[in-house]
Amino acid sequence: MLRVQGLTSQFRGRAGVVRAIDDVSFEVPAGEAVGIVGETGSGKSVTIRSILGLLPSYGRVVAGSAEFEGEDLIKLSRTRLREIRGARIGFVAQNPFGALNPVLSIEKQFRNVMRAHRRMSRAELHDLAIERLAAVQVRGPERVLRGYAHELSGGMAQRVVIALAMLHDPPLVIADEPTTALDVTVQRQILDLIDSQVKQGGRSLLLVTHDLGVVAQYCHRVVVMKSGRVVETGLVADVFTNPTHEYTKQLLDAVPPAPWAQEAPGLTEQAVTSR
Amino acid sequence: MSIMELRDVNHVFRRGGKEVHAVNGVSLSVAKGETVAVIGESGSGKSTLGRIALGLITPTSGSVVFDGIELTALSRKQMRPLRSRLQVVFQEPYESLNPRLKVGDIIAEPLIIHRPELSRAERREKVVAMLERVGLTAEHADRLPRNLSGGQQQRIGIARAIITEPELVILDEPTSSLDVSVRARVLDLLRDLQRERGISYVFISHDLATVGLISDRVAVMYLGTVVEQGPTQEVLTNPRHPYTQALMSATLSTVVGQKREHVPLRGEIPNPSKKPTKCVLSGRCPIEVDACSSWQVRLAQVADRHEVACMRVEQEQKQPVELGGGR
Ligand SMILES: Nc1ncnc2c1ncn2[C@@H]1O[C@H](COP(=O)(O)OP(=O)(O)O)[C@@H](O)[C@H]1O
Ligand SMILES: Nc1ncnc2c1ncn2[C@@H]1O[C@H](COP(=O)(O)OP(=O)(O)O)[C@@H](O)[C@H]1O
Ligand SMILES: [Mg+2]
Ligand SMILES: [Mg+2]
Repeated sequence: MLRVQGLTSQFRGRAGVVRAIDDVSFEVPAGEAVGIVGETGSGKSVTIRSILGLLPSYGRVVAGSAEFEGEDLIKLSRTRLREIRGARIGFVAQNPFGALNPVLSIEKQFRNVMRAHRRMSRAELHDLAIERLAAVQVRGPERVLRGYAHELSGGMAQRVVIALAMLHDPPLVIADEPTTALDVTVQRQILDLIDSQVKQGGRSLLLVTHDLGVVAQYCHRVVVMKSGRVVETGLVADVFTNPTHEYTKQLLDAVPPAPWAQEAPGLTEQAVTSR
Repeated sequence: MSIMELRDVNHVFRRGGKEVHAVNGVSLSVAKGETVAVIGESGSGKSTLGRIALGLITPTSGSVVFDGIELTALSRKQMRPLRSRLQVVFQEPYESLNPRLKVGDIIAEPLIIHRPELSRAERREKVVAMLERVGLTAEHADRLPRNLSGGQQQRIGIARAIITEPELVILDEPTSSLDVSVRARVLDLLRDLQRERGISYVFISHDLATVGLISDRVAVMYLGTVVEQGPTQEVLTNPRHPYTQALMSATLSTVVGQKREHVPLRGEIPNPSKKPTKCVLSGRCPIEVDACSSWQVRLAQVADRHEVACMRVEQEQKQPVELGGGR
């Protein structure tokens, strides 16, 4: 579905050129969910933004390719990329309020996303938008459509972003820390929602997260990043039970067991001292 | 012996005709050398409670007793000598450090205020010893905070809090902004410091897994109210309040296939603009019944020192056979 090879990007700054990611390679097979994990600054977002052509003007992909449906996304024009984003690749960012336009009604934003790729009458679009909002469990979709982003809670806003990302039924969905900005008890609702939307459509998912638990529970494959490089890739079932790289091992060891798995009083002490 | 005792503390923020009921009827005691965790999602009133315990906010009502002294009755000036005994570490290490001061001066600052009798050389000696104690070196004293990593910055925040030898430290999400690998080591440091010096901690967090590693007791807060509290192991292995259960099930295991059934809450956290008149989880609770709305919210004991504020749990406790036991 998506094959990234040797992706290398850098930023130009006051201190000269800084390489943010270096020789990043991985694949997202059709119908699978792939998680990219790594600590802050490891290059997860730059990888995604390089693939989607969303780097700022002073950032540039200097080497590598990202093959998707027979085209190299890196080589495409801005216009062609914009067509693919939205129609063939749905993108869900960390901050839903950054992704939504604050001065346009939600309905207008549905209209804009639809118009970019397909013609449809207002009435038809209205019905479709209602249907899609209901599918992501937005309560009172009529009212939401008439309203604006700031009237929504974080979780509702992210549901709207997901509905917009799915509007054209893209075969690939890319999400960059889609729940980091949300309340803990809402995070899992949103992950379950993304998971079900992806599975229902037989889509592929590329999910960026710093939470190893999210990868363990929602992804088939994992890409572990450190300092702009990929240190390990493989099936989650293999990598998480038998990490071959010291860094992956360290990361996994550093996460305390889930609170409900911290059974006997002795266990927490043991988990601590083994570190 | 308790070092800190909060009794029926309420706090309402008022601004432009609007009210925020940030803390509602919270009672909490911290024993000497103990770590009490306060856990809840953002907006649940944890930081406000922490600032009340520090004497930085005078609560709207209720009593705050530190080592036998009622803080709410003190003036700012009377409060000053207590500051060295009652310290705080914040979540965002960088934002809590003065960016223009060198690390050595940041750590020395509390000494200048609280130990004016020390000579410059004595101060320097203490600062270097403290730097080494938190895992840094004398060489770090001349650096600026921005040239250090997040983990190192937080070690400086801890050094600054510990240098006056406080009896109680409020740790307000001290590891939340740190990466996992750094987090574990900062927790180790906090635990070691506590063992050495017998400091008491109030550990504020939204992460139950972290709380399980560091605290003796835990109080779970939601919308300004404590909904469940007890010994950490007891609460984590036998959570009874639906909110605690929801929080627990929201943490995903890194062990593939190790799943826990999701306890979903409907919707999202409401605005705390009114004083809650019924159960705070009303409207989101998966086990809510009509009778919940007329129930007088109170904490009831479910096991040794384990208390839960839920009508369903309280009834189940009374009639275990009828409703079926346990979780
Ligand atoms: N807009 C930017 N300008 C300059 N450097 C950047 C920018 N965005 C990211 N970087 C740098 O690229 C590296 C990778 O960052 P990022 O991909 O955002 O990390 P992650 O998403 O894994 O936290 C970091 O060293 C970061 O400082
Ligand atoms: N200075 C303030 N003025 C007005 N409202 C405040 C202030 N500080 C906190 N609040 C409100 O009080 C509630 C509790 O906040 P806080 O104690 O920071 O919660 P937590 O630390 O659990 O995230 C929130 O609704 C917050 O918006
Ligand atoms: Mg990122
Ligand atoms: Mg807070």
